[in-house]
Amino acid sequence: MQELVDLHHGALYRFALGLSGSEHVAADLTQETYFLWATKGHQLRDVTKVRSWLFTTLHREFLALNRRERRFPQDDLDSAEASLPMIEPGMMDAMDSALVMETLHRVELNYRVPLLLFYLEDMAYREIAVALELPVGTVMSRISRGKAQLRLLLQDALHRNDSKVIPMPQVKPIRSQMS
Amino acid sequence: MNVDEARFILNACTRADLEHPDADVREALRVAEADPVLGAEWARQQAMDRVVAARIAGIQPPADLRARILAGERASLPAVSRRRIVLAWAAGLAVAFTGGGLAWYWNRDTPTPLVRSLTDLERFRADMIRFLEVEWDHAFDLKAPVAGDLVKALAEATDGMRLELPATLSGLPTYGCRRFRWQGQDIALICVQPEGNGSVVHVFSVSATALTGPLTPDGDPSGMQTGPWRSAAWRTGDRIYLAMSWGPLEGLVPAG
Repeated sequence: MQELVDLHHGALYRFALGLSGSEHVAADLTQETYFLWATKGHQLRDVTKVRSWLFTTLHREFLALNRRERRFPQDDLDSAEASLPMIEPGMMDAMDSALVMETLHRVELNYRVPLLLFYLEDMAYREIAVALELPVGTVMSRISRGKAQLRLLLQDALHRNDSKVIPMPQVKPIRSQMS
Repeated sequence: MNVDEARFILNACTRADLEHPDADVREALRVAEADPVLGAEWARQQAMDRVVAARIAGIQPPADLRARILAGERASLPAVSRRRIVLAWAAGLAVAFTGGGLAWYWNRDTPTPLVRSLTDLERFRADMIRFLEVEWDHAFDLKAPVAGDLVKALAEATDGMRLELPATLSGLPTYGCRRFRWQGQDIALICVQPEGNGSVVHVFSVSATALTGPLTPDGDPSGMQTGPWRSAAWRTGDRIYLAMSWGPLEGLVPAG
């Protein structure tokens, strides 16, 4: 257990922080995930899947916390856009951890979840798909779209960062989906 | 594999994928090497990804988290939620008794005014803004251009949710509807397209029992601006409705 905590609790916490946007909630989600591992982890027969199990469980706990239900089938996403917005020169130097995490938290949840796992860097994209219980193609598409959103939001944030106030995203939730 | 396919794969490639590439990743890398434009784009992408990943990796968990986990403690979240429910009930009862008593004392010779508290409505409004801006995946449970079809579908899906949109909204073209949970309640969302102004009106509906501090029944919307969002709430029957839009709502929601 101690080794498992040392190996993954930092990444799980960062994943939870990106999901929830709250340090307190992130710590609790991480703690709860390990509690569930202690009580139910013995049911997992394939020990190579422990990491996926932990991330899957944390993700499920987050969704349960938000009390989100999806009783209807979802419209799946189209293929990702072919090209992403360009990165502006100097953009990367100006980014600190707080800005990155705050901006990540403004990416739409569907894209943010796989994007967080992408940036934690430990998992292959196929493993991310397993952890999130999604088709591989969907995960790839969402990572790609998530990156596009993140870049736009980061550019916007950095342009207005003089006062360190991050602007709200320019959300037009419906129209792009309706054509 | 063409350039677009290679770009699609490379965008999703994590460090783990690059350290142990499968056949698809190897082929995508080969295409990137052969295509200077994609190669340059991929290099910029990697540079950006490395910075973002490094910034995230720089965030450390609380110092006591490891010890709390190893101690086998359960997280406080579920308990907090239960405590909040109990406290909310207790506070609600206290407010009801105290407020009722004071209202009776001060107004015993005059008609008792309707208690008008927007506390719950404000919370509902803030959460719905968050839903629109952050949490919604922009998918509908059902897409239909006629409000009546959406209302009917929601009633069938929820075993009794009867929505009554005002004629000013129900006669307009609709995009679709979505249902989700908030504070243990079924929330319905219907998206309407007003004529002319190019905006979308998001109409949320929640059971009136979910919000204490009732609105004045049947009308009197309380309009408000929150960031870019204009909103108005009203009650019809046993449900409260909250319309939100970046465009004007005048003439669309019940007049005060």
